[in-house]
Amino acid sequence: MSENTPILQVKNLTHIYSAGTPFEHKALDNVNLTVERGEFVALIGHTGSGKSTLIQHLNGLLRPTRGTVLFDGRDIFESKARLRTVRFHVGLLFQYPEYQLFGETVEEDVAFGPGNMGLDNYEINRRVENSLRLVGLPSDVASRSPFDLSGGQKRRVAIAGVLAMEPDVLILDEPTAGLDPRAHDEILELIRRLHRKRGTTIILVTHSMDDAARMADRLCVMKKGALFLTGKPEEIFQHADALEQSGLALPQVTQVMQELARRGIAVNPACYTVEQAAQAILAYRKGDPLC
Amino acid sequence: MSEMIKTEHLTFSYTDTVTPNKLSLDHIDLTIPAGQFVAILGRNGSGKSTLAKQFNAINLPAGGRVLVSGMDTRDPNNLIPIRKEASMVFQNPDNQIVSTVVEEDVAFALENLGVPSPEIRRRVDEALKTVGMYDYRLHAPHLLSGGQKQRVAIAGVLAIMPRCIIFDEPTSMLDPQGRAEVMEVIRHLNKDFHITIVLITHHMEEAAQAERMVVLEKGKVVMDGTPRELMCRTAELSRFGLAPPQTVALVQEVNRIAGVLMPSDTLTVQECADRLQTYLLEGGVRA
Amino acid sequence: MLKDITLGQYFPGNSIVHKLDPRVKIILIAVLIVMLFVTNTLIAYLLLAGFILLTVYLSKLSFRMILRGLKPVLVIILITGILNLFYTPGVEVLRLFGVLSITREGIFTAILMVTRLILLIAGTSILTYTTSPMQLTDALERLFSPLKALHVPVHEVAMMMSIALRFIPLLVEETDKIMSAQRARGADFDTGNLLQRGKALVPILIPLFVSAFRRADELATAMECRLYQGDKRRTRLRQMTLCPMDGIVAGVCVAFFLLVLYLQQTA
Repeated sequence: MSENTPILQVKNLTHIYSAGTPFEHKALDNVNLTVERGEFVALIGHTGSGKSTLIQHLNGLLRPTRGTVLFDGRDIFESKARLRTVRFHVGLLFQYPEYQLFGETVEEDVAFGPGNMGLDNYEINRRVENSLRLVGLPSDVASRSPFDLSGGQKRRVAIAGVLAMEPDVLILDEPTAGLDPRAHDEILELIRRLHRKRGTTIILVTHSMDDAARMADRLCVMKKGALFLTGKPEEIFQHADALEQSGLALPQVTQVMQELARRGIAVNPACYTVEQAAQAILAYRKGDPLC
Repeated sequence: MSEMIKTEHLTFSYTDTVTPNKLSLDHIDLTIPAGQFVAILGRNGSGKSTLAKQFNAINLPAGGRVLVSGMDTRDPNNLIPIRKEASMVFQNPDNQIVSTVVEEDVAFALENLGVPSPEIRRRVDEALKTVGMYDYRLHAPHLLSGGQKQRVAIAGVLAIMPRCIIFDEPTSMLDPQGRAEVMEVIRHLNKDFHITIVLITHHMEEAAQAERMVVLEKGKVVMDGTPRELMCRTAELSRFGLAPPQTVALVQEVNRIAGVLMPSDTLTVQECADRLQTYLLEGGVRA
Repeated sequence: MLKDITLGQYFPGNSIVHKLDPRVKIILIAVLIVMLFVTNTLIAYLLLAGFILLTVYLSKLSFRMILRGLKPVLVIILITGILNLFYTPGVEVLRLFGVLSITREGIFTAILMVTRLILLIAGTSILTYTTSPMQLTDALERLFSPLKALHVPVHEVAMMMSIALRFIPLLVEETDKIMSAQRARGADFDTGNLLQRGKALVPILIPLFVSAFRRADELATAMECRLYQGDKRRTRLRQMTLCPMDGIVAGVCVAFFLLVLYLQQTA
């Protein structure tokens, strides 16, 4: 449990669905991934690239066909008890999580995780209150039925339900899918806050290169069940062609910069935010092409 | 040009207990000419989907009226003719596909209309070819990708041969590739078949492809114009929970820092690159 | 897991059995079932078994698939056999533990009943293996359509069946997802007594119902937009028309069944 042990390690992970039947399908092929404590990693890839399969191994919902998953340096499948503990340390928020709400009240739903952990009532209440506040829901919501809330609010309740377990690692699968631009930004802001204030290790699964680049320290691009590229955003965007070939849409600013570069204007084609790109363009105009 | 859809002082409210007197649609006057591609935007709860459901008589006006090709939606005798004129594609493709075989699903509306079999066959094949799903006609829908499912759903309404299709957030559950596929089909329907398109969306890049965009806020029309006019009005857009496409934002950011005044109506990557190229190579407009 | 459940296991193919009009198939299978119950001689059963084997051969299905279809009902077949073996009165041939007697009639009836069940299941499996669920519901709707005159909602029932077939894979997938999501929040579905396990299902069932109702609502609107008005003036993409082949096959089968009945009488 030393501070230097990576919080999650995936070693030679292979997963085959329906092995031994005509529907056999290799979803993951020898994946190696290390996530450091407090890191913010974005996992990107086209639908069917294996992202969802990979994250379900990280808290033991799926068992590897081959390979190991280590949490805090120890195998998560070591024993049944170990697996159960890991589930509480590695929180996993699925896509459209509001479709899993079931409680009669918001409070009851959020308390489900902490309740399963066997905490006492005082601690459960504290955590429910805390996580509702953290996701920015007004306190009067706690006693209402989750089914009466708006789409964006339901999503927050679902997030609160995972946060209430106070996990060390939070994995979010497309947490902003289907939200309007404002709600989208608010959820991303919430995740950023969690990372900064609580030091939670974050793994964000997304289709959006834009969100990934703006949020994460490190991007991992998956393609056909394998880890295809990994590195800092500015390193990843150097491989723009490869990214587009693997079915990912580059942010529009990056596309503009690429187009300018193609036209022989030597601006940095790997810019991925409006601010960076504007700086690069102004620098070029001042005769200083390195941004 | 004839009027496809016209609303006059349209009001509507849902009967819910939380906000009993809140109008979901508040005196909307909107005319959509035949053949237009209009995008309707607004934050969640602004009334955009509620408005869409007025366009083919799923919901009926509480006050005012809606005319589809001149037919009043309040008259029950107009229901079937209206739905033949203006059809609708929904957000979740899974919940609008009826059959376990693609081609049978596309045939569903025609079967309901009592169209003779050989004619159904012809129109189903045509609709599937138009959306590029003909090769999948014997597949099971649940094994298709999201974009493919949504294209099947589009074929299903296309077979009716409507003059107008209303899309209620058709891409919000799709991945980037599926989104691109669906948008391509929508553009194709508008350009080559002159079908009137009403696209409810909150993706600005999609709205930028329309001829006209209408922004709703609290059940009222607050912006109405071409994307080229409206997308540069960043402050106003942001007030209604929207952000301009990055191609607009980039030009505006350069303008702001360098103190120049390039027009920022750059809706596509090409346009944006053109404008910046001019600025960089020919000196642009110096402050 | 749940994904492995397949419903109405249809194996697409191009054989003569696949191509046969589903209405003809249903009627012939129904007649076959009646035949199995009205015959009770060895010769009749041998002929019917031969008939089924030939059909399997013609349908290009593997015999192993038919055997797999028998697996789930194996216990029922065995129990039927054993009960008949011990409880048929007649000439005793063997006595076990002083109370259980096996009679000559018992042996005969047991063999008869077991064969009857096996042939019955094999016959219906051929029907479901070679006919898509959609074709089945369609054919049933058409076969029962005369009942519409008696205000039996034949079309509505058939529509419900086909929508159920469409949505079952979706709901199965959804159940899987909800279970995973609740597991991720520490739910435990595999331990505890019956009551605890029952309670553990609440976090699955509620979201599942909510979702099913939402889907139903959206589907209803979508169907209305696509001009669904019930059975009124409905036509079909695929018309079922009987072709000469259907007639020939039906004729051959009926002739065969009559022959079996005749032999049964004379035996």
